[in-house]
Amino acid sequence: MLSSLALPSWTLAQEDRIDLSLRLLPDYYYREVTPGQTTTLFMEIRNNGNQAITGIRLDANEPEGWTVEFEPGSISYLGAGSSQTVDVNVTAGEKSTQGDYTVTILAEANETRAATSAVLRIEDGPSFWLWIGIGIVGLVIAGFVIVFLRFGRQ
Amino acid sequence: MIERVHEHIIGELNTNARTDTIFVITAIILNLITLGINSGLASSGADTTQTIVMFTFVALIIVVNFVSEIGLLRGRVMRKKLLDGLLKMYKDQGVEGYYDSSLLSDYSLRYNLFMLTVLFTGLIAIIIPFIIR
Repeated sequence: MLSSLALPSWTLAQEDRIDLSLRLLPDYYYREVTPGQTTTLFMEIRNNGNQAITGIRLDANEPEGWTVEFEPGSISYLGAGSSQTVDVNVTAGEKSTQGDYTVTILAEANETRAATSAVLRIEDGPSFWLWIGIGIVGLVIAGFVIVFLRFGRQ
Repeated sequence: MIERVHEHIIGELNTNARTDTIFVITAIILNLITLGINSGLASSGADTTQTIVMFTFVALIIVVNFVSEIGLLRGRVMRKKLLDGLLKMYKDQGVEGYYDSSLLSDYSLRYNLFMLTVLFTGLIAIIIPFIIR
């Protein structure tokens, strides 16, 4: 009793903090992908809080025709301050044309949720539409040659 | 009578020049306008409506350019015939020395350049939107 009066003890009630973060490795603004091919992105899931996070389920919001798979697909337990790497296998759509595509990754746990996104760029090789254009131009040139031979006689 | 024929040939040549100018200017302006429209459509998105509109304009470019090229080719043939007649007339009148016959080949070269300009602006108007897309 006396000791408690003489030396009041401070009970530091540590506030419960739940903080889940997702980070794609390495950091990049965009990554080039090829239509129909699978590209693996590495994602770090980190528990920055002081409480364990359980039942983390991974899901993605991908462009039409694309598929996203996670390895592992879920994490049952992630202790405070710890992290885990997940392989994100992204398969670009076969018919996807040149351009930037955003894949949003969601991690939903029993206690919290987090999201991140990746910009994937398709720019290798001429696109389907370019071949269409080249085909039309080829036909037009052939047509002009015929016209020139047919109507150009003096 | 020969003066009337001469006036008629000169009149035909003037009409021919005006028609060719219209063909060239119309084709080039239309090609440039369509290039702008299709480039805008190609960069704005890739839905079905935009694709149909784009291909409609491509069809328009092709038709107008073919019409212009055929018109220019026929115009070149017509101008040559008219100038041949004019030269013959000058020869008959003994004044052919005042008209250099090499002008005929100059006209032919000029027509080829006009046709090349129309053709290339047309091809660029077709291909650029597909590159953007």
